Amino acid sequence: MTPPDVNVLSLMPVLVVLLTAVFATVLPFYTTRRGIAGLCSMGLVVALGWTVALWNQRLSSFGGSYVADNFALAFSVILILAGIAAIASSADGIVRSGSFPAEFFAVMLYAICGTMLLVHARDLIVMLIGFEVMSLGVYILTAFQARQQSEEAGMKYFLLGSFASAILIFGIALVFGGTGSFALEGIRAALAVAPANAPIVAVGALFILIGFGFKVAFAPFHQWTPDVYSGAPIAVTQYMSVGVKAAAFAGMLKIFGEALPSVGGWQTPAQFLIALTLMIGNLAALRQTNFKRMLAYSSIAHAGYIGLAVLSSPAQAYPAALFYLAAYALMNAGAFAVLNSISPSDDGIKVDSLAGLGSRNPFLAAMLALFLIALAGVPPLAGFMGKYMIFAGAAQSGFYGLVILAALTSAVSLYYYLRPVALMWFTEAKGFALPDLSSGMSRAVMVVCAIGVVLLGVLPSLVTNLVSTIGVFASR
Amino acid sequence: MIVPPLVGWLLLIAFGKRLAEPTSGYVASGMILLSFVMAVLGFAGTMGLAEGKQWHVQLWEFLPFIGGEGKSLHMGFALDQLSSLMTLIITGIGFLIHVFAIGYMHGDSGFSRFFAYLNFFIAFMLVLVLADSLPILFIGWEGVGVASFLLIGFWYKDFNNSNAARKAFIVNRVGDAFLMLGMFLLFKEFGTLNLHELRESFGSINVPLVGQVTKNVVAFGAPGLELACIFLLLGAAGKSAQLPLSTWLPDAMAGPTPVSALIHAATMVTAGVYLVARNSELFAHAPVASSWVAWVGALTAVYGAVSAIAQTDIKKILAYSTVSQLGFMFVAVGCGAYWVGIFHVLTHAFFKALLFLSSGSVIHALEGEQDVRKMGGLRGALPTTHAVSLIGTLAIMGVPLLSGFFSKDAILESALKSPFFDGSKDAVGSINILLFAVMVIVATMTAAYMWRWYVLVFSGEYRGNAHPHESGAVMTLPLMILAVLSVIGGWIGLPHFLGKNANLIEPFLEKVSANAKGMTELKGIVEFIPLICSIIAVIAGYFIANYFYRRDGARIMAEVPNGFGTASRNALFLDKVYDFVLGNPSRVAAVFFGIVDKSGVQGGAQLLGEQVSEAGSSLSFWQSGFARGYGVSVLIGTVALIAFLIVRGFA
Repeated sequence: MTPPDVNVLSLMPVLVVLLTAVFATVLPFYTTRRGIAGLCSMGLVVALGWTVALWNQRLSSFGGSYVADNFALAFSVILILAGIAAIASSADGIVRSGSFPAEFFAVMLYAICGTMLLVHARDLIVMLIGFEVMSLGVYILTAFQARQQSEEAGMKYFLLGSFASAILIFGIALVFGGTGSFALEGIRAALAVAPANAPIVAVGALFILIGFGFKVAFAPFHQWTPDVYSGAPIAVTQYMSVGVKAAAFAGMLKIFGEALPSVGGWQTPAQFLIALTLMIGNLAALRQTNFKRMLAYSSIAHAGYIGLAVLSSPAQAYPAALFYLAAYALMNAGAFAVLNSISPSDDGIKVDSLAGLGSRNPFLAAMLALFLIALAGVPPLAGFMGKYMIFAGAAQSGFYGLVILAALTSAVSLYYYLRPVALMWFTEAKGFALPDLSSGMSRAVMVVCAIGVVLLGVLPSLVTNLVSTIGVFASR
Repeated sequence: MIVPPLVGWLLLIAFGKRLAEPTSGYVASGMILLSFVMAVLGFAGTMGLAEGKQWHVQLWEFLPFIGGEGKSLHMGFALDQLSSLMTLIITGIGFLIHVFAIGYMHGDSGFSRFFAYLNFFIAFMLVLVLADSLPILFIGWEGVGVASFLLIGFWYKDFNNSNAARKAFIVNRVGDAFLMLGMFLLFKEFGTLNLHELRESFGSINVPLVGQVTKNVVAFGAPGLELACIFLLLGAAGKSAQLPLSTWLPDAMAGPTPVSALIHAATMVTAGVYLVARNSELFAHAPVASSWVAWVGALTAVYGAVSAIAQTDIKKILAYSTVSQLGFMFVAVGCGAYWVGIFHVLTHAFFKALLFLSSGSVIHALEGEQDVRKMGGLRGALPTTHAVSLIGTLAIMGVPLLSGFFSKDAILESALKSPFFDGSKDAVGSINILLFAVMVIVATMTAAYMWRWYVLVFSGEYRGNAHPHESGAVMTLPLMILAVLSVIGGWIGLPHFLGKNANLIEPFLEKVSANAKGMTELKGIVEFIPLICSIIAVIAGYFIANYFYRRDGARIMAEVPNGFGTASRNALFLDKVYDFVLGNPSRVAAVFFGIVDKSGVQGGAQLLGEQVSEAGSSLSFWQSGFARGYGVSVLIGTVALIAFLIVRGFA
């Protein structure tokens, strides 16, 4: 019997995060919450460094089930950075408020661990493990606060998430039944040899699409999103909207781009889902009065834009999706960091209460304005470039109708993104003043995100040159 | 080189209110001085650069995969002989004008804001000339447009000023639209907008051009190329106030005088000339477009000169004179003499900045009086200003040995030599002679109106009632430096008959610009005709002006303009024509669309809003908050998709 194929080097980023999480679980008996937050950030930074060091090496473990290729590494960077941003922008408030047990950070790291496993996996079972680790972590985080909304959100998320997981597992089972393989390459090869099983695989593919579609909030599987996003603590929403979404999209891109591109049947439903998602996300966001909930709906809309990449051919879709997710991570993490700093409670704030923030707190208002304008996709910021790349890729793959719809709905999004900006800068404050709870750390997060948003918008080649070959690698 | 003024701008915008008055001026001037030093270093570097070479920094790749694989918009900056000469003009004269403005703007409430805008302008002007591709150039082009808008309307509380700013901005938009069309067309024809690559697409730089079909992708005189060049011309016309887009420049004099000197005389308005010279290789292959350039220039020169003759505002005379001089430059580049155009940009920058600043000094001394009829006799009160103005006036008139003489002479010569009309290599064509004759007449008029300007302002008796006083050193020093430059600036471009190596600027610039070798050779006595004509023009202009305007004060005040005078004073009624042709229909359209908007669009939008709200509330009914409801949605969605799959068949 041969020993298992384990390349510890390639596993290190995940292992570092996992070990840190274990320490963070045990150590609260001996140290302060501030110390734990510091430890977790350190662990993430180490994992980040290791991830970057693995670039271009394409190490693999477990017989190809776990591969640290550039695609996975690039996504890992986004995930880890999102984690650092979430911890850094919330740590101070969490330490101060005392409404969170110290395990908050540990569970956050477990969830990050799951997302990283998901993006490295090239095997449906490993992917599922990552998916579940991630989901369980986020369920707990959502329900972390002793607050009715938080508990309700966590419960809802758990129930519906289990439902979606069941569908996903069913899908994986069907694909395995049709092809006899869990590995992405194996599935692809089997489909090429035995097309007779295509109908079974097609249904399986559809179930997988639904399972992942639930996590990234494709309509009509999106309904948990507003409730959960607005119920969860802000830091958790921040991570969910960036990290979980990025990881789930990475999984979708891999499965549909590499294992199942030859299977018919899922593309047209996916188009329906994306079209519906774009419309519902943007139209519903128009009507929200709670700023946090508005961001939740807008994240549904963004899922629709990124969904276009899943349909496009990998050569363009991978760099585009990566770029978009990186940009989205920066914009959204920044926006939530600001929100976290001006919200008296984790319920978020009314959009109207932003009125006059520009004159009272110019720094936070300017930051928020920048992130919102970027989210709306106004050039020359990162959001515009991301949309440009995604739309261009989808158009080249022939999805003109969807691209037009996406462009129209993103025009709608201008309204709900720019209204808070206008409120902040062009109206007088009325009613109570929003507090300024920002700490040095959270301001640093905002500034870094802001620089990133501008930089990616003006110099997109910084990232595109790095990632442009990823799609080519993957579709060998 | 671009960084210091940008830093200055940011500093002044951010902290301008906290800086005491002169400090912000010093900061801004210091930044420009730093840029100037860099420009000198860059210039020294380019002296040794070989032909067709440039220093190139590629900054980034913008919009990857535009137009398919391998085509991208690369962005960067390039420094070669042409751009380094321009940077010298911009930063050098910019610095002097900054210093002058410290005195001129003394006591203005927007002191810091003014210098912030000036720095902003210099930064974008440098972007414009250092751009390595048309899109970057366009960024600079728009940036200086914004700066110009902000500075014309600097005293925005006066309605006329802000209207003038708007007019400049809107008229420029028309030109910009054409510039963009030109860019699109060029991209289609050549697949690149990089200036160097555009130039290289014609092969080696010094290919004999005229009359031969080149071996390259785009043929000589190809319709696409001609059209693109005409679009570029119209774009250039907007920025350089050429007909038919010239009406904004005289109004732009509403801005503070240093602005008029810097932006609307020395630098920004020459951007159009720069654009043509920069793309000289394109224009050299487009004879029709080139002759258009020349004729647009000639007509504008006539228009400007005629309009300048009877103006009464000290700055408007200079403004129309600028329009006319820009016309001269266009004639030069339209005749294929690209170095001549840039040469005149250089000398014109010296003497026109000098004249504007002198008139600024006069206005400053007379506490804001701008009507030349209420001036006169200032020779005694303002000795320094008078001396430098006299030099400037003589220079622009084209008095021999001063800078304007050499560049104007070179332009007249190029009009005779141009290959773009019908001229063969041996004989001067009749159209050349016509163009030459027009330009000689304009030169005569130039001498006339400038001498009139001088006479009305400085000689005779004082006709106003202010108490003129000379300005301080911070204002007079720049004037003196500019005066010296106006005298010696022309000596780098001496005519050929003085010796083979007398001309320094031509070989320098021809390393980067096309060399239309089909130029007619002027032989024997003909070689001296332009020279003689230009001297005659100066003398004639001088006597005409003396005859009509050296009179006593009372008659000047009482002067009733005759038909010609009225036409001139109203700038040939071009503004009124535009108002009638474009303004009236627009006003009618505005009223009409106002009604449509109020009743139709607004109503429709309201209706739509209500409908969307309806849809929204049904959405929120769906969003009930119950997990079981959401579960049902997931289930229904799943079943629907499976059903779709079954109905459609599994493949």
